[in-house]
Amino acid sequence: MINDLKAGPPPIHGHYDHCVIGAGAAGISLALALAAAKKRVILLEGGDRDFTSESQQLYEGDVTGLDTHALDVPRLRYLGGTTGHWTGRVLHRDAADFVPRDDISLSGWPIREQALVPYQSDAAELLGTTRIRRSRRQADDTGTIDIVTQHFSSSDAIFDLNKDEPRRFGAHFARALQDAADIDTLINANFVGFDVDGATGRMISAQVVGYDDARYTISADNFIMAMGGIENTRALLHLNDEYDNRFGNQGDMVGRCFMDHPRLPLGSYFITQRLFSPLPYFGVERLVRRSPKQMVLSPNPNYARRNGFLNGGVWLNFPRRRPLSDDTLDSAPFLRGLTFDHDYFFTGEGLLFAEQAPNPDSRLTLSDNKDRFGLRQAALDWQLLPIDVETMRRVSLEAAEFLIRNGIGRMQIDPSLWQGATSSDIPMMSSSHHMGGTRMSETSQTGVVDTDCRVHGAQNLYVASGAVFPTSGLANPTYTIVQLALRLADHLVAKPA
Amino acid sequence: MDRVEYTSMNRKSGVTRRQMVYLALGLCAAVPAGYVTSLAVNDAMIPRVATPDLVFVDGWVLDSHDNIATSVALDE
Repeated sequence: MINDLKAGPPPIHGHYDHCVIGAGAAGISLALALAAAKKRVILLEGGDRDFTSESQQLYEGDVTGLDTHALDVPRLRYLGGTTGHWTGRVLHRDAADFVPRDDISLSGWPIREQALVPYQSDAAELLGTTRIRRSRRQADDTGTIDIVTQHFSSSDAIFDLNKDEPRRFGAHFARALQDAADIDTLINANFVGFDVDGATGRMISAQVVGYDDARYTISADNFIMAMGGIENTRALLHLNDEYDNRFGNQGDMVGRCFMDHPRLPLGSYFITQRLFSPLPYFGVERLVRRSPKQMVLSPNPNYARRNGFLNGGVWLNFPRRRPLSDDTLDSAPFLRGLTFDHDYFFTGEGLLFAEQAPNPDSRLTLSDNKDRFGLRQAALDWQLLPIDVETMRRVSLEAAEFLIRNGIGRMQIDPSLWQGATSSDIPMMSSSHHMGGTRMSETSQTGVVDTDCRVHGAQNLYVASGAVFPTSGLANPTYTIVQLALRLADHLVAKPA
Repeated sequence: MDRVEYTSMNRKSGVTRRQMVYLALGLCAAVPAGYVTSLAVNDAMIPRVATPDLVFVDGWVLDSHDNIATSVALDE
C-alpha cells in the first residue's frame, strides 16, 4: 500500500522487520526482494509520486571543487528517484575493477565479481534489460582495445532507442508497491535522523517529518539507507556528528573518495562498416537502424593496468550513414588519401568516459547552510588526480590508434588531451554518477561499510547505493547498484532476528 | 554472436524459430548469387597501418602518411 503523509497521519503497522529509506532504484529493488521473502517492510520516500519543487529543494547544496552540476540538478527526489530522468545505460562491471592494483592506493573491492553474479539476472529483469554475463570482446590481435557493448534499460519489451524510454522505477513499480501486502510505502515522508541505543550502537527507530512538520517514529529491526550517493553520505555525516564518529567514521572516511566518471566530448569520428563485424547487418548498419545497444572502444583492463592508467572508453555515439561525396571530401581532406570500397561511411560524435581513482581529498562534507528541516546541506568538493587525467588522454589516443591500425577510420580528440593538459584545463564534465563517500572496506580505517554493506560499528544500519563503491570502474553504476541491493536483501533475509 | 545476444535479439525482435530457419536458408542462397560480396572486399578498405605515427591536425588524430591538409569536423 502507498500512503501519503500529506493525507494525514499514516497507518503505521507497529514494528517492521526492515525500514528502507529512499525509493529509487536501490530502495524499490530492495523492498520488493524483502517482501518476496515475506518480510514486513516500510519504504520511506521524501518526495511525492511525481516531481515537486518543495521536495527537490531539499537536494540543494554547495559545490566547492571542480565544476560540476548543482546538487539539486542531476538527482530527483520523488518515487523512483533519479530513474525519473536517467538515460537507462546498463553496463557490466569488469571483473578487473574488483581487483586491487599495487600502483593505486585504496584500489580494488573487498569482494570479487563472483559475489554479484547470482544477482545479475534479477537485476537485469528489474531494469528491463537482458542479463549481461560479459560485455567485452577483444577487438584485434594486439590485445590493447576491447569492444564493449552498452545495453539499455527499457520500459518496454520491444525497445526502440529513438522512441522508447528507460524504465522509470516510480511509474513502473507503483502498482507493485500499491499491491504489496508486506510493504507500507510512505511518500512525502522526510527522514531526518535516527534514535540510537548509545550502549549497543543499535538504531532503534527512524524519525520522519512531513511537510506540515508533523513528526513520526518508525521502529524496525534493520534500517537501510537507499537515498543515493550524496544523501546517504550526508545522513551518515549527521549521525557521526551526533555520536562522536562511531558509525563508519572511526577512520574519518565518511564522505571521502567521492567519485564520478569524467566525461568529455571528443569531436567527430568516421568509421567504415568494418568495425564490429564484416556482415553489414550485424556491423555498424545495425546501430544505424535501431538497436538496444551502443558500442564502446575501451582499452583492455589488463593492458591499462600494465601501462599505468585506469579503465575508460570512447562511446561511438549514434553513427549516421554519410555519402562519400565531394562535399565530404572537401570538409575532411584526409579522406582523399584513403581508399573506400563503398560510396558511404559512418560518422558521429565520440564521447569519452573515464574511471577516476579513489582520492580521499575528493569528498562530501556538511555545508553551513541548512535545509527547511534544520539539517546541514551537503557540500561537494570533487577532485581528480594526475592519473585520472592520464587515463583520459591514454584512452582517447589508444582508441584513435586502434582505428588507424585496423584501417577502420579516424577520430578527433579534444586538443587539451593531445597537449598534455592538467585537469583544470580539460573541458570535462560530470556524468552525475555519484559513487563513493561510504565506501566498502574490510576495516573502518579504509572505508565505511563492510562487505555486507553494514556500517562499521553499527549493528543494524546498512547502505544501498553507489556510495558503497570502492572504485568507479567504467560501468554506468545502476546495474551494479541493483545487484548490490539484491545481495543485501539476501543478507537481511538470512540475518537472525 | 554468443547465446545471450542471440536470445536477447530473439526476444526483443519477436523473431520466431521458423523465421530464423528461413533467414538461414536465404543466406545460403545469397552467397552463391554474389549478394554477400562485401565479405570479400573488406581488405580493400582503407589501409591498415601496423605502427601508426600519430599526428594531430585540427582535432583529428591521423597517421603521418594521411593527407594531413587542413580538415574540419565532419558534422560542421
